[in-house]
Amino acid sequence: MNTIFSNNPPGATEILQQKCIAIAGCGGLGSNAAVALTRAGVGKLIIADFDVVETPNLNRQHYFQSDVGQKKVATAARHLKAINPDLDLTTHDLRLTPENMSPLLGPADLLIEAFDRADQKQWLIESWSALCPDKPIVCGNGLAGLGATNSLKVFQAANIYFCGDAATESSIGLCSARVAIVANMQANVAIELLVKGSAS
Amino acid sequence: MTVADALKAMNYDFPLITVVLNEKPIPREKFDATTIPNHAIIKAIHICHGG
Repeated sequence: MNTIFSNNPPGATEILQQKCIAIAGCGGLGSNAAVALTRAGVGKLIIADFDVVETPNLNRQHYFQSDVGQKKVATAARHLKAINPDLDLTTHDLRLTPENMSPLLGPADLLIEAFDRADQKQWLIESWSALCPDKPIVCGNGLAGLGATNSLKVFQAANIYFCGDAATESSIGLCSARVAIVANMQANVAIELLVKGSAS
Repeated sequence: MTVADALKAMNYDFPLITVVLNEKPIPREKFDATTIPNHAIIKAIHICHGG
């Protein structure tokens, strides 16, 4: 067993190594969630994003100055592989749509929703729920502004898990810590669902 | 009462909203056509921009 995970909770690594998580979007939520899931020992990740790294992204997304101008999925792949070279990683450099998501994301055991726009979040939730009703989708919902840490919650409806405050919109600004908290809430919920079968 | 009726009655006028009725997600295009049964549990979640 890879010694990277020697400090993991007993029994968790063996389960996570057999699991596949898809991440739709590699921005503030997706890039941070991907790092957390990789560090936790998830065996396989599928990541999808069409965008390139831009300087303003660096206030919250897991990229660096040397990544600016490069494709997000390719850059994320380098960072994730630098954590765990044995990670089974599939990247999709494209814009996800209701029409193409099935073959790309369907093989996953669980989906992390990490889109930016609310209309995109909505179609992804509806499409995944119709395509894979028995597989969880863990969404980032309401992560803008500063502070108000206690307002960040996990809310479950069917197999949909919402992480955030369900209120703040990105128009008020996005800050590193709050975005990362929600991204890591998503990763934590995903890990718990896959290891324990339910989330508390 | 339909899902659309319930959202209107609750003043849930968020432009983007996910609805789960008795643990089953209801697509937006079916809000007008989905009737809420007696003793149903309905959850409505406002979807926010940001990610």
